[in-house]
Amino acid sequence: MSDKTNEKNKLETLEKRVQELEKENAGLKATLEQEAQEHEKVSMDLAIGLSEAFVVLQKISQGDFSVRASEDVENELLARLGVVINRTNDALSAAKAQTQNMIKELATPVIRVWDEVLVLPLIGTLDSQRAQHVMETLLERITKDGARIVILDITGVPYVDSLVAANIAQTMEAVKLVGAEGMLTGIRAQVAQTLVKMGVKITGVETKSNLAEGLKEAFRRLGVKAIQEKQPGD
Amino acid sequence: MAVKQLDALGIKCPQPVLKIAAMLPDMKAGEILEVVADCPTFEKDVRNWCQRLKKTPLWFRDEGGGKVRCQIQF
Amino acid sequence: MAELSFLTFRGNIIVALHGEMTDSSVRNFQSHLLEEIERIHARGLIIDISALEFVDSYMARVFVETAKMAQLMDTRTVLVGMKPEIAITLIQMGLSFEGVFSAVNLDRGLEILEKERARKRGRR
Repeated sequence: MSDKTNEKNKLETLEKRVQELEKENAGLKATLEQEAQEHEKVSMDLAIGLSEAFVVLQKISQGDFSVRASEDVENELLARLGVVINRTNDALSAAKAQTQNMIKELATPVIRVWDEVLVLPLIGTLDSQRAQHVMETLLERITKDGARIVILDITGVPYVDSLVAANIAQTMEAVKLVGAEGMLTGIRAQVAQTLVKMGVKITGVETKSNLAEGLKEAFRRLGVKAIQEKQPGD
Repeated sequence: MAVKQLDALGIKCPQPVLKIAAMLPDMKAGEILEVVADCPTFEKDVRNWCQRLKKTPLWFRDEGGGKVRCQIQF
Repeated sequence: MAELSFLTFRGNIIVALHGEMTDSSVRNFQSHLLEEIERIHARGLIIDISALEFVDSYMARVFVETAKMAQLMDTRTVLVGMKPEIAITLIQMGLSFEGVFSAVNLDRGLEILEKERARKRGRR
């Protein structure tokens, strides 16, 4: 009898222990699941953050500097990555802007050949964007230097389209309006054809065959005399 | 348009999704990437990723043995 | 707009415009200016617009018109100090400034008036 009671007691203790273990097990399972979920979330955030960084970098590599990587994300690593990408982007776009400015400046070399005489020799093809820039640069210089005579030499321009032709005509008019005399030199056969065929009027502007003739005319107007001291062969 | 292939078998999430992410610079808009993986959360992760990156998951196919194949349009 | 003040220098009227001009103040400017030309028998007129940040097509047209009116009264007009960006805008709007002289600054403006006067004397 006592044996049986003993056995029963033992069984009850065991059952209790099993229940306790099951509880513990369930707790562990829940923790594990929670950790797995957290791990999943972190890794997914990382994957998406990296994907976004890739997208931004791809755009930058295509020359689009307007994109920004996000810097205020929860993940510190991704935030750092964003900061570095943006810094690189800034440096690249600054370098690009500087180069473009340099090209623009080189493309519009306004030269002061004499007191109050400016020469702008244009070389290469003109598109309307460059023609617009030429106009702005030239007018700024006239106002700044107080130039009297401006010679636009287009010997180095093989041909123009109608838009650019109109732009040249406008430039000459604007030159007059800010208070200088414009002169156009070195008009090529093709350019002359375009100007006339397109009906572009270049009014009140002296045209000379080449830059040397233009300079002579400028000197004549200013009352400057160039004297050749030695004849060639003397 | 050629469909690009990506093998993500034998690796656990999030690695397959990271592999897809790494393909981003080579994918033009509209191009299709085909991925095969055997990670259990693969479909869920890809759908999630596609939603966040605004890409289109075209289809998912269970190929048995835990293998899932899918196509994503970039 | 601030009150207009006309300066007289060697028979020329010099007027400097500044601030914002409304259409009515532009018209006002024109009639006052022409009255002043008549009053002192001005030989030349200089309109200094170097302080104007902005010239619209109406103002520009009034300037050209005023110059033509002054011309009828035997007065030459010089526009002085037009900013490059204003010149570009007005030209691109297709406005014509025929019959109006322009100068970079006041000195040049007076120079042009002197030259015009000499030319007229020579013709006589």
